[in-house]
Amino acid sequence: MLMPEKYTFIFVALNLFILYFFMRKFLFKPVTEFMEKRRNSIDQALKDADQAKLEVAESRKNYEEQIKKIREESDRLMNEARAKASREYDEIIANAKKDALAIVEKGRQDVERERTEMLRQVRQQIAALALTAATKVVQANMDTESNKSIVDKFIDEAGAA
Amino acid sequence: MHEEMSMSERLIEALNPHTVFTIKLPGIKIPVADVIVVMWVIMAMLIFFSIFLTRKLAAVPGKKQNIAEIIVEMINNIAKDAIGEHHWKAFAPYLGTIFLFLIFANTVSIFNVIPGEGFKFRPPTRNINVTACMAIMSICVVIYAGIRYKKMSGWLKSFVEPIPMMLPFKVLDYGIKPLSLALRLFGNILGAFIVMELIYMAMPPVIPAALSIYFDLFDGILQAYVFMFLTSLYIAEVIE
Repeated sequence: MLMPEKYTFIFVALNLFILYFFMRKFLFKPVTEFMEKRRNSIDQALKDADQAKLEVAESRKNYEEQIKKIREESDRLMNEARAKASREYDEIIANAKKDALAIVEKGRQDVERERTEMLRQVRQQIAALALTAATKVVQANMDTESNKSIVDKFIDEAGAA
Repeated sequence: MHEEMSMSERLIEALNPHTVFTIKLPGIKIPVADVIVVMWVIMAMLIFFSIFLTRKLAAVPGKKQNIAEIIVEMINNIAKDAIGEHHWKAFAPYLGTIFLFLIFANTVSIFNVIPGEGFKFRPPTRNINVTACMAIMSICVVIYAGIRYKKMSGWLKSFVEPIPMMLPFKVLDYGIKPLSLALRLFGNILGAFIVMELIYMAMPPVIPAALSIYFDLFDGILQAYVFMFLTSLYIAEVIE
């Protein structure tokens, strides 16, 4: 056990070389490489998943933005249409009011004119009536100048009334 | 005839290597000791298992692959912890090889399932030639690591750092390290082996089982780990 033996020594060295070679070739190298490859592929997969998640979030943001824009656009159009409609409505109402006012005014003028006309006719008839009455009176007892002036005065007063 | 042998004779018989057979080449005769035969058996088993366990590697590991991955990962982690993130890959296979080999070499006596006399599995590491060879190989790996990762000049410079007065101690270091590695392993395994042999002689075979777990299994695995760990520390030290 303690005696140095060169053959044992050489055999052990040889055996260790052979064992090292085989163990490295069949156990350590393939398993280590395989595990690293697997770790890398898992890392890659996780990274891809993260990337995909990011992309999904981004496209979703885009969609939401687009939808928001569309909604804004439609709101704007709606408001415009509403404003236009209300403007037209106001215009129509204003026109109608103006027309009505014009019609009323015209009616009033007509009425005024007819009234004036009627008054004039009434005055003429009253004058004629008064003349007739005066003639009758004159026929009875009056043909003096003073009586005539009294009649004129009367007529004037009647006309003013 | 073994009954007549005294205890000390039987102990010495168990401790000494036996020539199992001799390779006859023209000119020289090479005796092959039982430690070498046991080593071959362990090597064959290790190589068989490393091929068997790593057949058809799949992304989702099966049972066999799991075992292989656990072993390799454990050794890789030890190498990573000791040597660092950058250079562990070059040394993990060597550390793993000596670790796995020593685990089986130190604990091989528990595989003595055939009772009686005849060929016995006895730890090859009870022989100083084996441990010395392994220690020298380890120190060669350490020197290789120094030269490879610090260049020849850097490695030689490390002898006179931090002060030139350190030179003799640093030179001595390369003798003491393998010596301590070899003698630690040899002494521990030999001691445990002797204790177990004495217990086997003194008691019937059933009772020593509990002691065998300590002396054969625990001590053997511990010494294998220590040997590998110290080697990795020496490598780390020289790479630093």
